[in-house]
Amino acid sequence: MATFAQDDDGVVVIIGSGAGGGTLANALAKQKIRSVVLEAGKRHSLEDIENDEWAMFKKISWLDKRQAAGGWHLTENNPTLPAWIVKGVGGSTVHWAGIALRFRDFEFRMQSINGDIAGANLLDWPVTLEEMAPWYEKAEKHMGVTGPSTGMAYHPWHNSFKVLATGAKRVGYKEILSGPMAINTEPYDERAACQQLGFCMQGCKMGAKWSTLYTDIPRAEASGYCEVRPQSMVLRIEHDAKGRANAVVYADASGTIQRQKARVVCVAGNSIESPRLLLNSASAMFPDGLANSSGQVGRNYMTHTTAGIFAVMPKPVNMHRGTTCAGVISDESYNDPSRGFVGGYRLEILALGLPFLSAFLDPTPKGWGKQFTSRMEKYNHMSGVWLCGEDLPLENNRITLHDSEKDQYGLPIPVVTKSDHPMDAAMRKHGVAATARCYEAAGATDIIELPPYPASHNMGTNRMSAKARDGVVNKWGQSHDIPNLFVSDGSQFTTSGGQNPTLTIVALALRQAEQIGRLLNERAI
Amino acid sequence: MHDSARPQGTLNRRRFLSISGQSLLALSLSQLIPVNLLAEERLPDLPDGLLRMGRDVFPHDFISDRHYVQPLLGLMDEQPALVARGLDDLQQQARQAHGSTFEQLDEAERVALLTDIENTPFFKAVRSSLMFGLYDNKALFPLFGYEGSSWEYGGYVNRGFNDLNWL
Ligand SMILES: Cc1cc2nc3c(=O)[nH]c(=O)nc-3n(C[C@H](O)[C@H](O)[C@H](O)COP(=O)(O)OP(=O)(O)OC[C@H]3O[C@@H](n4cnc5c(N)ncnc54)[C@H](O)[C@@H]3O)c2cc1C
Ligand code: SF4
Repeated sequence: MATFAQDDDGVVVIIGSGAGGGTLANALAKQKIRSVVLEAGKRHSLEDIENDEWAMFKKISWLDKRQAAGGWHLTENNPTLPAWIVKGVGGSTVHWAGIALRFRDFEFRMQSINGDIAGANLLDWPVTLEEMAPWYEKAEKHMGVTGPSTGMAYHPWHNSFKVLATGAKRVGYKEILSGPMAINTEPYDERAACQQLGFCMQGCKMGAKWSTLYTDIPRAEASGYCEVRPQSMVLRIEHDAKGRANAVVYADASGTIQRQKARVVCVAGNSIESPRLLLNSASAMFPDGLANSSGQVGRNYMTHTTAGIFAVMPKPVNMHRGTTCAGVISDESYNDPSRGFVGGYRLEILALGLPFLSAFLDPTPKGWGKQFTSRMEKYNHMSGVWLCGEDLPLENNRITLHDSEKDQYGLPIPVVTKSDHPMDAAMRKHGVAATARCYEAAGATDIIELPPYPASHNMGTNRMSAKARDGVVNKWGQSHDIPNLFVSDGSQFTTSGGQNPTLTIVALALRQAEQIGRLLNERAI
Repeated sequence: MHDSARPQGTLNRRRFLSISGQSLLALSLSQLIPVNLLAEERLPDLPDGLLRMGRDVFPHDFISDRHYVQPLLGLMDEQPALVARGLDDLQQQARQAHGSTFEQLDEAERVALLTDIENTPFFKAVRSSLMFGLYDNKALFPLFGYEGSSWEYGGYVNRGFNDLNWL
């Protein structure tokens, strides 16, 4: 494994080792481009992974203080944990459930298709599906996504999906599939096949689910072109007199401040930390933070329009057995404004264990008493869905720096402000009703709507735009203002799409790696 | 704990055996694991009303007192002042509204008083300690039909992930 000197100013410094950062490091290494990955969290191994919801949550989550604000229910019911993100090598790909969906064509062009929408800050992506299609295919092969790109079969239907799919068929839905999942159904890419453990979101003990923790990161390291430094929290990006990024300052495991020089800096800390870092890096030359001439850094925070819908069935389901999210209904995933909102959503099967169900079932102050416990007693009769739909970008849904509260490094904590657009609320209502219809058609005796969980999908806070005035980065994720500063994670998203984000993050990272290689060769950066 | 302070819903072994219907499954499971075996054992003292309150917050007839007592003792250790003050207030409200102690009220009266305080830090602390104590308690998983950690048994690929056949 290579190590690079702190004053080596030829390296690409990548901040974060998750879906974006981990993929990028490996893709750069394949081009023999040297990188240093700075990752705030620890490195865990498969031995550390337990089939225990809270134990894993406590072990790997980002628990540094954050504050939720705005109209979403988390302000009230989860004021210090607006988002569910991993702090550790592999980032949130350790927790993620593996649903790997492509954006549809219209989802890159929401503004041209729907026009301006009052109250929303809608914009087209500077990229099209046509341009992305080959990168999606590469990403699918890279991650091992079930379906045509790899030829891997979709997952066998587990009990909970049988229930949902039966109801969905009865109400006339047609697009019913147990994938695509970035989870092996047969040995692939030197990783095992899924054994239906049922703890995908606690880290896959089998390694059947793609995660940069045991794919891209160790491979990049083994190449000799990448050094990963865990427990290295980046505090600030520095720049030279010409306004080019030239170093990052970080705190190492002992809290000692270190400084790594850089030729290129790529930010991939997920959509709360990435804009926070750019804002915290404000300087005399860039008083509003780096890459922020548009004023859009931190804005347009999106989480997807979500809800949990759990149904109590007349007989046992045992949803905890089997792949947590292997089941997607897609009939509602098209742009049909006659429903009262733009964009689409998918219904995704989601199993929760007893511990998490108790925490998510009703996190409001009303979540106690006989109704609560009688539902908990039906645990093994439940089947559940998670709604994943387009979430409109709103300028004031944003990450800002707290004026007084500081974290353990002395940096202002991030304030995460989010409210629904009326169309988000309309979509949620539509999706909850659609799910209820499916479950009722399958014989459900009780339907329970759960408010959104702390956000697991975080997007949009350093968005891509064709014009510098509308966004933070260009179609390659390269800052409009600072050419050797890139954003490599989900914060690049111009709009959320109604698709789980990770496949798109990985496809963009693979594409960005090639572009960085090109620019380095041309000595343009 | 003196017997009069014992909530009516408490299951001692005799009552547990007399319960029919849906608890039969729970009963058979509970005999495999030591959930209720110690139900008659003397429990450490909790201040008056706290156990009753805990059982009202998350009422499960098939769970014995000791599983409520344990997390509540932990909470008293961590936040003694919060619990003492909160419980004092609750008892005072019970006396003002009904002229008797909280644990002597009937269920509807108790639930009404608890609803009044559901937004207080005291109530939230009790609720959260029991949420972990009851639902993140491996000894109680089987009573809910949750099977817990599975990797050591090879997952569910050969253990019923798709055995549902009643649709
Ligand atoms: C429970 C759960 C289920 C999910 N299921 C799915 C799914 O089925 N499908 C899907 O598409 N997506 C899913 N997701 C979302 C998916 O995990 C994320 O979209 C994806 O991992 C985001 O990639 P990222 O590169 O933006 O950030 P991450 O993968 O979160 O990586 C960011 C990394 O940066 C590090 N970091 C942050 N700030 C700093 C700093 N200042 N210095 C150093 N390091 C820093 C963090 O510690 C972290 O390791 C799920 C997420 C969760 C939590
Ligand atoms: S169900 Fe499959 S993917 Fe999920 S944890 Fe188990 S083996 Fe891994």
